[in-house]
Amino acid sequence: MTALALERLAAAGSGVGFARVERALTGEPAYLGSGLDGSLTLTVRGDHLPTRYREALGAFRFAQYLRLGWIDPHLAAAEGRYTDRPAHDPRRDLHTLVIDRADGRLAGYVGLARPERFGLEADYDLRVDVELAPQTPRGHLWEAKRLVRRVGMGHGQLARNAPWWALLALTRTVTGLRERGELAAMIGDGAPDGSPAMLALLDYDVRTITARPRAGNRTGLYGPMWRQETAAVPFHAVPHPRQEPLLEDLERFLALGRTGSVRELLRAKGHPHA
Amino acid sequence: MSDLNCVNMSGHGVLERTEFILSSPIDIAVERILRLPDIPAAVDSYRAVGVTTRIVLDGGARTLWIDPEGTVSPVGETNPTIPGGNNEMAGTDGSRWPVPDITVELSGEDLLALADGRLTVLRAITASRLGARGPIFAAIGVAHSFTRL
Amino acid sequence: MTISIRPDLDDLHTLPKAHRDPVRLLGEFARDRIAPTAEARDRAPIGTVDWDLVTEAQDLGGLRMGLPEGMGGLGLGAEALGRVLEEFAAADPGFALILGATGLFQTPLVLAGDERLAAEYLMPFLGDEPLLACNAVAEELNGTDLVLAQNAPYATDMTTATERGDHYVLSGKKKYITNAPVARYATVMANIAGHPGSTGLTCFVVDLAWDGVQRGATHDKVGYRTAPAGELVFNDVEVPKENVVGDVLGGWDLNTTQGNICRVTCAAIATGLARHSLERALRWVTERRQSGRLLFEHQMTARKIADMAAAVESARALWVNAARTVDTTLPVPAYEPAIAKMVADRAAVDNANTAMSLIGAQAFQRDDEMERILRDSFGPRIYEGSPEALAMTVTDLLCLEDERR
Repeated sequence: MTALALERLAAAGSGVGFARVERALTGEPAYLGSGLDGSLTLTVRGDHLPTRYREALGAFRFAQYLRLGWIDPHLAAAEGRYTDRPAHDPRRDLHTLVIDRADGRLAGYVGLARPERFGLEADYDLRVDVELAPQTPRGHLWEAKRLVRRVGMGHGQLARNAPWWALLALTRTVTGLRERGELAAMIGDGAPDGSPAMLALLDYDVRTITARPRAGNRTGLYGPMWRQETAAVPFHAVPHPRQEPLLEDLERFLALGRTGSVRELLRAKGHPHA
Repeated sequence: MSDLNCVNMSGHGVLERTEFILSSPIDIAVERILRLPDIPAAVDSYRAVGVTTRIVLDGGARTLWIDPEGTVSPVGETNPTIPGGNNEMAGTDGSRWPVPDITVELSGEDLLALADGRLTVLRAITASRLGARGPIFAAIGVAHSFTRL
Repeated sequence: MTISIRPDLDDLHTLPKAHRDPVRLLGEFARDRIAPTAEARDRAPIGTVDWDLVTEAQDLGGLRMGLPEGMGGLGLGAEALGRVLEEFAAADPGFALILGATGLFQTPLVLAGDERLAAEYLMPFLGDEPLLACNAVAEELNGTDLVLAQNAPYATDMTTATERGDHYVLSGKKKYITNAPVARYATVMANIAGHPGSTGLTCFVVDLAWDGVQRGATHDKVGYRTAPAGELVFNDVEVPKENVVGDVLGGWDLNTTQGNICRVTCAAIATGLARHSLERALRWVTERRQSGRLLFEHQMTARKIADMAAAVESARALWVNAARTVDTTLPVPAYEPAIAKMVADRAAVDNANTAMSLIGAQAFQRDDEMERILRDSFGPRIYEGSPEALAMTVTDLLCLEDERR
């Protein structure tokens, strides 16, 4: 696949509009927030989202990974795979969409799922209920995946805020699940200074482990991602009981379109992990 | 007419693909379809369609049956005029088969061409080389699964 | 209780369950939102598109009717699509064409099943932004020569595709293309250089934002004015080889297959037009009195109304029959769709003519809706096969053995 063809594909996946998704939901969103940065953030269960939006999310995720250079385009072409669509039942997914209301496009995304087989177990030589969360029933573990900002957004306020809106919504959702007794911990993987660090800033108790990625990862569809210099690490994260004031500060900061960096905000608020 | 093209001799003179000796295209085509359950890309593609399919090759010279899970069964000559009051159709060998969701008709050579990438599904449709009775998009989906054999 | 000439949108039992609600909602949208505003759109400056209503249609799935359900489309077959487009045509056939022309772009890609083309060019239709597309076939000098395959050698000055490395370079001009002034994408039928006439016809997907694509004149049409139509000019447009839909030189077979499928929905549109004339006439003859009686009580009038009703019912029966055959048969049939379109196209014109004769001087006023219906009624016979082209198709099918066609 030529570079031009790749870019066209990525542009198509990045350009799908979600301007009126809220009206089309068939269930209550787990989170809904908006900001002066022009954003609308919502978290919704997969089966409450019409199929076309779910398909568009798969295309969006794929497009960002393509632009980040994390997908092998030749393998994608050989396999005819141009979407990053979850393989499991949509009821097991909670999708967080950060939407740019100016044009309806996604600015950011993160997924939270309770699949039958965790992505961590497919990607690493581990069992999550042995190495990562030995005391926790599998059914109470939720896996966060695909925290992405739309590549090429530039340096505007929404570009800065998008990942934080996604994590804020994710955290609100996680808290809600915990309160209902459906979640004991969130798991996932990321570069040590990526999502684990961001979650720590948000007052999660984060624990990372060393695990060996499966041999086939480096030559598979996501091979380029696995061949990066900085290796991702699996993590286990639990919201801290005193997280709420921090989340309120963050939500106010994002919603009111304040200038500055989120990390500086968290440092200024004196939270231990900042 | 026998086709010897698929015979492959190793350096020691041992025939490596004995199942293709003196096989006609239709026999090879049947062989390929019978492998459907063992080819993940093909069987996943077929299952996604969710139908029971009757495949008629070379105008009825060979007929196969594929259930929604992708299990393939060869059928004796079927006579679809036998009353199907209980939603069954009979083979002249006495076997009973439920009425399929779709019937797909093509030549053995065309099935091989689909599987080998020498014929696209679109061309098969537009050049009238793919016949079907039943929801045509299901039939097209089944044809796409053959391209993964 | 009188019999209604309008289909009952609450009784769609012949359609798959999953299609009934979308068809009903789109049909109601056509009756409640499109019909009352049709006159305003007809009188708007040429090339005006009512994007608000297109967006509403988009939200109901109007721009993804033929896309597979698994992909997020409505997955409508020919019968369901026909039901929808008959309703739109009875309200405003130009709006039916906006939706239909976008569907014509999508159909080759759906049939081809090429995942990459789908990801690039069908995925955008899943979003909330209303996107229109077109199917660019007709040219200034080539009309029926791009409808009947036997005329292919006689096509003149065809839009040409010249192979150059990993691209084809497109040069030429398309004319009378619905949605051309506003479409984002097009399937373009171009002739591979070196092949005479249009014998090398090949289908390309073109992003109309690419360098070298120019929107030519927008046509000031007699009817269907809601649907913008115009020219597309290709000035050495580089089209990647992977944007060929199907096979190189496969364009005629694709064009013919798509044409046969499309004739069913075209017949449904023409039926909608015929029905609209009858509806207008019924309102007139059940209200107006002459010689002390309502018009419909006069025998000549009764005969005309009956003939109009028979025309609508038979046109509908034929397109529904053709649709069910198309939905369940490969190779895509040619006979039933051609017959259906021939009859429906005739019904559209005849019913408009009869309605004019019934309504008289009132119908001859610019501000009576019959004025628009009359103009629109001549539309169906122009696209996807004129009556003459259809007649040749039907007769060839009846008289020629397969190998001679």
